[in-house]
Amino acid sequence: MRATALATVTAAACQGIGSDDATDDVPALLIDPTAATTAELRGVIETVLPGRRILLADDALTKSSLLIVDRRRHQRLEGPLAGVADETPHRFLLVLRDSKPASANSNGQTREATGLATDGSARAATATACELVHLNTGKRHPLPQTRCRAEPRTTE
Amino acid sequence: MSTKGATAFSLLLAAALGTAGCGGGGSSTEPAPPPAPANAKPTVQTISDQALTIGDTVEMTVSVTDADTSDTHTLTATVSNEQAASVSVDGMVLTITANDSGVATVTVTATDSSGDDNDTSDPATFDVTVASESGWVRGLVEEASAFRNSCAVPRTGVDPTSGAAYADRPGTTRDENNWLRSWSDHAYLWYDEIVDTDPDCCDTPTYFDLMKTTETTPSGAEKDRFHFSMDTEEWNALSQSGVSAGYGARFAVLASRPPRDIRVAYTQPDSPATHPDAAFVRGTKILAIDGVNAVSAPSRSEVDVLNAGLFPSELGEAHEFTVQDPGSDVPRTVTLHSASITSDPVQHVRVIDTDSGPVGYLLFLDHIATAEKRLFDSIAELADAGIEDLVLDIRYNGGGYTIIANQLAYMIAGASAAQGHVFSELRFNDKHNVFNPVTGELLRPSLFRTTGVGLSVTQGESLPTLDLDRVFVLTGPGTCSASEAIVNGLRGIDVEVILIGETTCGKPHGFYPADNCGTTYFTVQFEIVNGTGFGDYAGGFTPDNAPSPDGVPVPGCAVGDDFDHAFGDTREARLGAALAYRNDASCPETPATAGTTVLATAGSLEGGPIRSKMHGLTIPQDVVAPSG
Repeated sequence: MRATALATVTAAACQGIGSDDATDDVPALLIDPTAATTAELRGVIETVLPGRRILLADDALTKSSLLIVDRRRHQRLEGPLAGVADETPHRFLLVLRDSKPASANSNGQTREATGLATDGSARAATATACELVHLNTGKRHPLPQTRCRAEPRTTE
Repeated sequence: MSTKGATAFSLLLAAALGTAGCGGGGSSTEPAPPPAPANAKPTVQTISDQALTIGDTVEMTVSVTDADTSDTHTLTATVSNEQAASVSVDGMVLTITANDSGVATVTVTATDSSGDDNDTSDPATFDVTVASESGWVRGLVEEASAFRNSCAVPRTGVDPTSGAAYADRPGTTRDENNWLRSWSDHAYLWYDEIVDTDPDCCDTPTYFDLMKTTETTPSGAEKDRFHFSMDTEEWNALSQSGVSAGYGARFAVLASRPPRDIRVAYTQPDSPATHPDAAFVRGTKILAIDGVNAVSAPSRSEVDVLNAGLFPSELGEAHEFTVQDPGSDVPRTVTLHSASITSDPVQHVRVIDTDSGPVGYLLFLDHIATAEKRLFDSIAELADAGIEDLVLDIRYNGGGYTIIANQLAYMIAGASAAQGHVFSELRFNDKHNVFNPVTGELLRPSLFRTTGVGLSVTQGESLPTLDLDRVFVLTGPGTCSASEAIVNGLRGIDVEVILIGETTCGKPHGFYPADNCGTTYFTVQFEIVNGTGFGDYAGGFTPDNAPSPDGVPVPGCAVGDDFDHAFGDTREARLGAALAYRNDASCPETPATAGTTVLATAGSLEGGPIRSKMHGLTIPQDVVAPSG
């Protein structure tokens, strides 16, 4: 996100958001989040975005492997504070650690990898370690206290 | 800002500096004298510019040269800006008096006294710059960079947006005000309508309030209604997309000024708003918040209290609401505690089967990142259903990512109508016709976007389309900014837009928020126009049968909000009116206006229009909670 925030309209500015290079990661979902795992997740995000106050849903990453973080919406009686925007949001993908049975693009949509479905299905039922990938930079952040399962494959 | 030109004045004083010499007598027998040489033109020597402070008086002697050394000269001086400085002439002495802040140009000429062929010098000019005690010169603006980050209270530590130390350095309130003045003069859309004011006048919030146009619209409204600031740390706060601190109630502000009308537009299940202690329902009217009358309180500080209660910024905030439920005359008071609320930007999609084919209904509430995927899926669903018309409900959609507005407009119109055409274009003030004054990028139009941009849809993935040549759009005062861009963008490629509801908010403008010294400022910097260059809808878009259309008239029907029926219910007044209009281009008999009791035109699920009026607000039995 740029240092000088933009809350403008240009469509062109949204071009180039993220990268769609497929990776071999397995998108994952959190299993039974606790206060400790939530704190761990928050800590990772705050490492990526230091000094920024961040509001997360209690069920973050339990329904989708993709976590989008952007500027908090502000409202007021008199009208919208920032009615138009073109900032690039931060996107994080939760993935299983050290397992690559399938591929996922940067939007968390899974592509089944040939010959690895069995392995992926097996992992889907097993709690395992996971990590958070900051898709904007590609940096990976382990979540040692958190247990995950493979996200059910979506249809493209 | 511009220097006001004062009526020029002139003073003319004769100054006889000498007497022309006479030649000696001659004999009549002498040959005829040669013709007298031509009179030489005098020259006023260069006069240096003067920098004065208000109240100063300075005298200066003007030097005039002339080949005719015996000529005398008369000085004339005029001044371009009498408000800033005045000048008087006494012989060869100019007396300049600094009256007020500003810049004046003094023009001096000298006329000789040669007799019948007096000649006047070329004019000599110099500038008189008059500053206030603070150094302010009206109309003279330095680069904003000269004042940026000079702060009365500099921040220390690490700037989270850059990861580097704050760039703040010790400065003064005057410096901060000077930055606002320079920045506004550079980038504010109506910079030439700002009344230039001494930055020493007042505190920075007060000064910022002065850095906007004072003009009004033909209807008497403020020309600039979007001028505000907020704490930078608060502005920079982040959230998971769609997650906010709130109560699970969406508030519809039907009238934002006294007498205000604030209603609950809808609620989310299992939220503080639907807890039995609160029991908010669609249509619940807000009467007071934390002791402030929500209907009539006039002051800024009271409005701040209302905003803080309606839109809490943090979790766990407690606010006391006095409300009146639909159908009840008895107010009640409840305390709500803010919680983490996840909202779905596309909460209702359905296909309505009618005798003349399937009609899609899409309730779109927020242009947030997650909306890209939700709209993608919804449009694909409606396309698969083969809908022949679409009713797009954006009555409560206040804007957001305009790229999503662009995509949605494309998905409605389809490739043949939109691909390669301009969706929108930014127009800045007349100082910036080629480059964006903030980003420095070359200004160029935004074409309709045909693929995902990676907010939540794979970048480059082709968007589904409906290929419609018309769309029914349900609107209200909460339809703002990016939502209005959908309407304008589609009209720009001749897609017929039929407006059902009320006048939209009227925000064809945008800005780049700018941080300085811990405050983020929002000031209008550009107008957003469509492919035909149209962007003049600051009064909003209005259904053309409205009793007093105060915006750009668009074919359709004025219909008040209907708090008796759920979104997507064909008996809901606006959706029903859209379906009826679709059948026979008719509107409800009595156009409704904002804040009025619902006047509903209902249609059956099958689409056959059923006209009836419903009076009063009752608790609906069939309110469908938002999905998702």
